[in-house]
Amino acid sequence: MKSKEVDYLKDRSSKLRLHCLEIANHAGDKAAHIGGALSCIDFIVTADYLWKFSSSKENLKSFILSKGHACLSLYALLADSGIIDLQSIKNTFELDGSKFLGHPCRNEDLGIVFSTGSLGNGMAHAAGMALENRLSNRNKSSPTICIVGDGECNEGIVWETFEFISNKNISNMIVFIDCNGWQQTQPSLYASDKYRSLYQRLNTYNFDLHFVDGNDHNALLSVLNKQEEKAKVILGITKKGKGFDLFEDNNDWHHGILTDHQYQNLINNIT
Amino acid sequence: MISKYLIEYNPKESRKLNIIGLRATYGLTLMKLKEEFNDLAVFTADTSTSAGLDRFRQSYPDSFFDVGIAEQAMIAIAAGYVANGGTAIASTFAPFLMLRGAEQIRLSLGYMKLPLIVTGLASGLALGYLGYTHCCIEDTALALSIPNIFLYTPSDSYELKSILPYIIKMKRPCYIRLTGSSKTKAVHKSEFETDFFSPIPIHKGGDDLLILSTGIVSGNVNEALKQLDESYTKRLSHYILPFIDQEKTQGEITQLVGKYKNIIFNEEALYGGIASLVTKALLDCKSKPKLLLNIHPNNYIECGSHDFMLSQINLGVENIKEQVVRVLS
Repeated sequence: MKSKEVDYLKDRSSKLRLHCLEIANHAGDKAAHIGGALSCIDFIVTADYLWKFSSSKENLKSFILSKGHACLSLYALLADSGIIDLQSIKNTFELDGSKFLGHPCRNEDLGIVFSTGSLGNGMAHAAGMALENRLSNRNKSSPTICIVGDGECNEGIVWETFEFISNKNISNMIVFIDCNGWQQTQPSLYASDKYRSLYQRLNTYNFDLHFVDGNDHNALLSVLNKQEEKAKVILGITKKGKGFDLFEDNNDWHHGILTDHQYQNLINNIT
Repeated sequence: MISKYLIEYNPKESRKLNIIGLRATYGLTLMKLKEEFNDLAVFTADTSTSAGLDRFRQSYPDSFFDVGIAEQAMIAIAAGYVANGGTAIASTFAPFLMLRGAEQIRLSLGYMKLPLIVTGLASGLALGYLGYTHCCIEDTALALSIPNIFLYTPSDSYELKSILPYIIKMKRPCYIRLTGSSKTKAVHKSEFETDFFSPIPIHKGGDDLLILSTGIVSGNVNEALKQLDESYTKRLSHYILPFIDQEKTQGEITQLVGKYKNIIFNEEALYGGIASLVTKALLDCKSKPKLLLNIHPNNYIECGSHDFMLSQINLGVENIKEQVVRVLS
């Protein structure tokens, strides 16, 4: 059963990654943030498998992509879950008047509660949302799930919010730190010691802290399935650009133009 | 059809609240409003006592969230709270709220239009004796440069107490700017009507001079008029501008200033805030009244007590009296 689950998750990850490529290719010379979107797909797919947040616009509100530049992953999820068709996203991505810009914009019709991309803010918004859920007894069955970039953790507001989550024990919240090794122009500030000091720092907070391979569905399932009492913070070691040799661990694809030729090559190599 | 709301007047309560000042009134009022607004949550950044919220904290520990000295997180967390359907008000000292938290305010209140109320304590020059780190003369310009923010600057404590429930019911992004320190001069001496965007008349005399004011300096204008001879006061009118609705207030100011020969505008802030609405109004109106702007200059002046600083920028009672006499002579 478990291997079937994992097979399903792997298939869905591949599908979402292909959606990302298609949308990125449509961006043309406007370019798209490819690497950081591909690195967090496996977590999105695994968490969505457990809490089905993409099953409706209402449920999607409990998923916050604080690293908003990874919007391709969110848009791929919207398309795959049928909230909106892929063609509509591709046809308008980053175009004039589009709902699908290079960072997600608040759009309740699509289940996107927060405009993200100004790094750090999405995580604080998510903490406020989780707090309100707890107080109002809304959405009791599902945690508030937030993806934060490792580079994003440079921001002061991230640490202000960690303090708050820890201090108020916002236990209905899961924070996934996408440790893909890079930030915009350089290796991640936390990567030099393989995220050990970041882990140690976070370990001083009142969290259920985990250190996992963030591209391993099995490992993610195991961590996410653990019933715990505190906010769950996951340092997921991932590969930037995961899934395609062209992009993997190559920070030129943090934000890049995917030409038709490159796109076609990637597709041909898959099939 | 524009709805007007009648704000009742209770002289005894007004006296009491104006003695304790805006900040204490703020905390006291929120405490009372919690009974009416069950889901009201209060956020602070280690400023519960400064905001008069200690009793609230003790009485409603489950609805009171101190995020620590972390203004940016306070604003964004409270914004997340209201995005999920809750009602929240977040307060800390004005410079740390509006300057340090400007980006969070732009994102949450401006761009996303989340109905969060943020309150800047001790804005303007009230804390001048602590230096400019604790003053805030930039906030109205910032607030009005961010689309969708509704600005409320109480004129006195009783007004704040009376208006706060309406602000909460409005469910719109709002910045409340509390100026002044422990005592406030009463501005309202009777009931008044408001539509929450138009200037409100305090004294209606002739059309030789219109005095416009915002915040607690309105009390200084009142005091100055009280001390001036009737030969002056019968020739002038005094309106306050507590509410700035970015879509509606500009037109109302334009209409009003066009009726007067001279205008004196008083605001404890830099140019770019409400003063810019008044100057724009002059561009738009056919008659061209003469305008005197009593605002903070574009430099950091010598610091000291609130009254000392206000007098340096022509917002003291004596300054206002002298100006009125000069303009009407």
